[in-house]
Amino acid sequence: MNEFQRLFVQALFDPDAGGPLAGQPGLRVYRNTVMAGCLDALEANFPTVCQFVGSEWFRAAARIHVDQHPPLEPALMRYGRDFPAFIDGFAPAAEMPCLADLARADWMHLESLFASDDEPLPPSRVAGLDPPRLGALRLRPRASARWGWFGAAPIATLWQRHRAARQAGAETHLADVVWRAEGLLLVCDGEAVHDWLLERPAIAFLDACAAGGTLLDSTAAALAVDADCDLASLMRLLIHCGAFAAGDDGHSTSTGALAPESTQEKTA
Amino acid sequence: MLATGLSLKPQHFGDALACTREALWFEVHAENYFVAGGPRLAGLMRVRERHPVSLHGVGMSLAGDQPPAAGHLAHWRELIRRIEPVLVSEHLAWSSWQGVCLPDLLPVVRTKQALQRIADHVGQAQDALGRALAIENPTHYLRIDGHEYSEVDFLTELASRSGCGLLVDVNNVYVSAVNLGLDAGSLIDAFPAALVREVHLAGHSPDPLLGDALLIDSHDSPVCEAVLALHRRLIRRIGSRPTLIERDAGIPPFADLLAECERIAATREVPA
Repeated sequence: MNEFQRLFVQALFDPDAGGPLAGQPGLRVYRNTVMAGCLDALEANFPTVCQFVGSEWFRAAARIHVDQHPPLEPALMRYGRDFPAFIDGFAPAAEMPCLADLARADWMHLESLFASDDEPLPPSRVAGLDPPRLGALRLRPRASARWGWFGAAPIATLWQRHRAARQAGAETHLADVVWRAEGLLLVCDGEAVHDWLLERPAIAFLDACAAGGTLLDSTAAALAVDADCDLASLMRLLIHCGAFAAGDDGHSTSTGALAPESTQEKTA
Repeated sequence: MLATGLSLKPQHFGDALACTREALWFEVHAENYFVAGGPRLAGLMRVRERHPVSLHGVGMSLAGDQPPAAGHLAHWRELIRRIEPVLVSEHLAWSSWQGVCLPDLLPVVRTKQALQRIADHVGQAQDALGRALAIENPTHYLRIDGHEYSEVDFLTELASRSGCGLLVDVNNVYVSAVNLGLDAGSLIDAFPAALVREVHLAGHSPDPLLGDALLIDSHDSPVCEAVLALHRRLIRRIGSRPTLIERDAGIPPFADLLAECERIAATREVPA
């Protein structure tokens, strides 16, 4: 049984392999189905990359990726974790330096789409706190929040423009895109993934929150990258985006956890 | 008893929710819902509140070189907990080899040794899931030497050893019969009535190079008359079974799928 399977796999990947099944046209059906399954999955998981380079280029590149990094789990909607890094090292992509980062944005979108559901932090929870209590607060990013800073290209704008055009079935217009560094935040509200363009301090703020920092730590992180940033607007924006979870994450301290308001009153 | 059901894709969640057809049920590929949360799973759970849902697996690799992966079975268990499916099914096939996934339903040499191994894997899966599986006959494209059992004898023995039921895919029987030069009627007549939990119907297409000499189980078109005739022959013999119309590519509007479902249900429910 193992011997048959070994020979079968060999024949699947090497059309010139001999063996008991050699020459049967049915082998081609399996070969095509296996590869098409992988390529379709990558195309579905990296739609912006595919849109950017066109289906033909994409599938030719993806085919090489499949040979190097075949799927290791049957749920193919999570296939392609290594694809952005593959593009980084893929010589024909060198003239499109934004391509790997577009792939990273697509992967962020996929992770956001399939993350567990949780409630967003209501703005009222933060609005009523006085500065000492605010400083000790730990804001926890939602399970579906994904963010990244893209220093080399306006990835957020490029990704948003492609996505909007795809949904509208229209051409992507890029003539007026300003070439600069950008941050991207994605959050799923249970119905769909929403995207926001963020500046560097907001990304630093989210990084610090994710690392378990207090609000004091997170604001310090934001100020460290831009001493003039408007912290009040930054927090309002992130809360408006639904980037933070309402619940207690379990590893915060009693004074710092964003527990129900009554607890906050007691521990303050 | 479930009547005629449809494959369900996320783009049809809204239509499925709004549909009031009696005894309609839906089937999805379980692996597409192995997620922690989000709109796709929420959509399926909303449909589940209105209609029965069956979970069909394509990735358990029951004939594989290793037992079904623990992580994979854990995803299954969680989805079963959430969806409470009316039926749970998988294939007599393998789709992974030494840890690498080969997303297809690959053929089995039906030997005594294979039978024991697959029965063990089915038993392990059923224990982990807390549910009996219905095991489907896959499509065949190759003439393979070394079989010690016919496919139906093998499936029957598998059911006897593991306690699983069978899912008869009538299109797979038809396509395999054409591809291997066998008689589809004799094949369909061999399935033991007592073991059949579910029936699948689907469309197929001719191979782009070899045409009708090699049929592809493509699930991209309506069920053809030859397959429907074979289905009527099966149902006349074994009685009515939950019957699913599969469509995985070239997916038309929901209304078209429902119309096909009603057309097939109407012929099926007329006594022979």
